[in-house]
Amino acid sequence: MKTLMVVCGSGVATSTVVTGKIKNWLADEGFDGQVKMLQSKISDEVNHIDDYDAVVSTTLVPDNVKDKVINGVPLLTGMNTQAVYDQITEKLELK
Amino acid sequence: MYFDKDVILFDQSMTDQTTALTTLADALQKAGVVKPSFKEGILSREKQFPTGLLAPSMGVAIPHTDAVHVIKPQIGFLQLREPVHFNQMGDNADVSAKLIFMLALNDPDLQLAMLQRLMGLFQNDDLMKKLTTISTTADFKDIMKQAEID
Repeated sequence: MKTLMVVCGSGVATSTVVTGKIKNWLADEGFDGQVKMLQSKISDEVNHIDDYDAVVSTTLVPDNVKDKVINGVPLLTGMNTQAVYDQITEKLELK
Repeated sequence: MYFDKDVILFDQSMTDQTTALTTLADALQKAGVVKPSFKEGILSREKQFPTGLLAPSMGVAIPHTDAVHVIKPQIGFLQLREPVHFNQMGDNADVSAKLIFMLALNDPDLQLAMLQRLMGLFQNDDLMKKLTTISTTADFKDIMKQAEID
């Protein structure tokens, strides 16, 4: 089972939306049995990025972890959402 | 339920982001739905983690902060006469926000559907344009009803 952490600034609002979108997408693609979804705030996770197979953020992340984190904002605005899903697929090696 | 305290402000002239955020946070506090600590939470969070969004038709902002500052879930709305500068969440891109939805939320599970519909509303160019021109609470609530947010 892969772990996918979704973070935002508060752990309440936008990470909830993004978690919901990703869950629906995982179910549509038949990946839902392969991924455990987690949700938190960035300040609690910034030192634990490597504990997860992938991290999606809707907020700014510090430069030192930037390359390891997928920007989830397109899932909020609805623009270019496929790029986010492609990055998740690649990071989690879903097939 | 999210608009029952009528924190709905139209045609507001705001010199900057801080003024706009303070105005809405004060109005929510006056309505009794957030604690006095909410405003500071909103202001510091916005600096650290901006909440602007470039929706297809215009810039918007969804300022919010930790659940601990919230007494009762509510959304404050502010329609700006002139756009105010925000940064986009995630990438810090410049956002000229014409509409602000200040979210006072405390239960992610209950609020998921509402937040998804709010994001859906941002992608509805027709309703978004209407939100910039309306001037009555009744019209606002009518649009929110169409967006299934209430």
